[in-house]
Amino acid sequence: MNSGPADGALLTLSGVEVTINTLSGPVHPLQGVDLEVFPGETVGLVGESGCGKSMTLRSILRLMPPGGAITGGTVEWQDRSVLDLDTDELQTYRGSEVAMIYQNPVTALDPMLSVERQIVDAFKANREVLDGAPEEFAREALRDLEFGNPDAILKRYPHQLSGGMAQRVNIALALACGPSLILADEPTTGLDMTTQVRVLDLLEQQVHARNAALLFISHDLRAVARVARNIGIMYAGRVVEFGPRERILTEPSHPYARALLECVDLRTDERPRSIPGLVPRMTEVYPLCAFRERCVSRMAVCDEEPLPRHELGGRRRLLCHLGPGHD
Amino acid sequence: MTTTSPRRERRLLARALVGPTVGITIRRSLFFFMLFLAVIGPWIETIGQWIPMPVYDPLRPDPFNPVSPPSAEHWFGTDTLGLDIFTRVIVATRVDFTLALIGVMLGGGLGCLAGAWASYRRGWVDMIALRIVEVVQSFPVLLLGIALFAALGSLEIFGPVDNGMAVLVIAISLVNFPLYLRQVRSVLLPLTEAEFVQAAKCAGLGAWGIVWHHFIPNARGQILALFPLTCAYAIQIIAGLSFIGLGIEPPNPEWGSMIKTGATLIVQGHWWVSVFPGAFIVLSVYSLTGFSARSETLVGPGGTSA
Repeated sequence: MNSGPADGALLTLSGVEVTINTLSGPVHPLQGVDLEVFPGETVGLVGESGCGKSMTLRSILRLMPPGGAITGGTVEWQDRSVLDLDTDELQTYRGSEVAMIYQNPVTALDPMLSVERQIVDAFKANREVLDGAPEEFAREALRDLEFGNPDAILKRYPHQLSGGMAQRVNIALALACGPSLILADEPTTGLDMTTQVRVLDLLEQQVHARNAALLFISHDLRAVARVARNIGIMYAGRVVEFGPRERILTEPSHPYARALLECVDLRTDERPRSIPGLVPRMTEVYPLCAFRERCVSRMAVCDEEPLPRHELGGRRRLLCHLGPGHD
Repeated sequence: MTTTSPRRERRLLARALVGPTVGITIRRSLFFFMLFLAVIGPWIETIGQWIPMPVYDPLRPDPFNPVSPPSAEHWFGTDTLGLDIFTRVIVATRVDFTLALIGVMLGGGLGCLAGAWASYRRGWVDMIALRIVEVVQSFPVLLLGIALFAALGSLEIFGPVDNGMAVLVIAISLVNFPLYLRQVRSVLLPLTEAEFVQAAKCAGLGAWGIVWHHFIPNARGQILALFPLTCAYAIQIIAGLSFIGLGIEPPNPEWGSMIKTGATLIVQGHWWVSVFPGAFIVLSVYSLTGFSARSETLVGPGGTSA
């Protein structure tokens, strides 16, 4: 299953498995995630709630919930193994090399500290030498995110910010330390439709201006399609299909990806469809295909043999018995 | 919401000092009066020369005038040695307030740090912290004080500091440490999984950075509310221990030991020897509670009531 780090990749996840021990027994949210992010590119991950999107981001940062541990696979950052970093190296890695933007912008900020304190703290934590006052950097950081009056915003507390403003502050915080990869965990889900587009565009623009890569996860396929060049579809703790945006959006190979696209297809006048069946419970490990109960193309081989992995070239990858050749 | 304007800030500050209701305003003014007494305490004789007020040397006995009732010469009367109670009650204010403050800040400060650390680390660190809290809190406070005096009272290990005072401060710290640890820990426990703490970790902040920059500020409200209450409690402990003869030794003025002097006299009708220092204990405790009541006006982000 493991194929070693891809050449030139910034981040390589191969076969990452996570187990969380809870009071009611172990849960397996990730069951072998494979993913590569190259410098400066934008990758999107789509999937239903509970498919392991957020846990993938958490395993990249090695931020496990209580009782959770990475039990298999490797996470490689350039040529280093993230799982082998010691505490100091991990602190440098988080923030300075990989930063994260959270789903709920207001709770991701400390309610008791002013915006200025939080941005200044982020600068101080990650940059040993600053050529200038950190307050000046904070002001610049906000100006980059199109705040017209950064001085007034710096003095505010999180409860005095709107959702969109708070998320822009979060983006400023994430960018503060000059990371080469930004992880965004549904950064626009909590915002108004109109604000979503603006924040998304700003995020994309700022990430590109800094030549950083972006790993964007969402259950909103349209938001992902807007920013991501490569898209991965996640199901039950695995990336079941990965490929360039055009390919995934027009002719996906995996039955789940197709079903997902039909759900959000707004071109037809029909009522949006849903996928019959339920998301599998993650208390079990699925060596066979976890989607087969809901799959319209289910075959006899699906119930017998473990999930195959097809490398299709051009970074396309598929985890399905159907293979790429079917129609 | 709008940004806090200077005018609004002034109003908030005024409200914090004066208080939202009449009762709280009275208590807070009383506190500032007590604080004023504590400041002028040692110079009371000098001040007595400028304004007409019968004040005396708090330590010089008057053998010809013992246990005299309140009068124009001795507003609060005199005790068995003829010491002026009015002067002594005022001078004692500083002793009680200072010892309470130092003890609470020492024990409370360590308690806050330990509580924040325990709630951040959880697991066995948390377990050990809680067991320490339980061991300390299982002793009755006065018994703990007596035990400390038995163990440390005769050791001259505090250099120039008065031995009794040093042990009192230790006793108060020991009593306050678990109070603050528990309170801070319980407030901060849900924060471990809070998104902004996760975000701080993602930003590369270390454990102490998170505890110092995010945990302690988030417990600020509870610490501020607890602080005056525990100071009041500390004053009671000081007075209680001095009453049974530990801590500040006579003839040094201290409310608890002054009450003790008058305790046997009260049945003979010489009430003033105990009642005035007792009243000062009551008043100082009462005045301090004025800061814990409605202290939520102080706790919101940036001093606003959120």
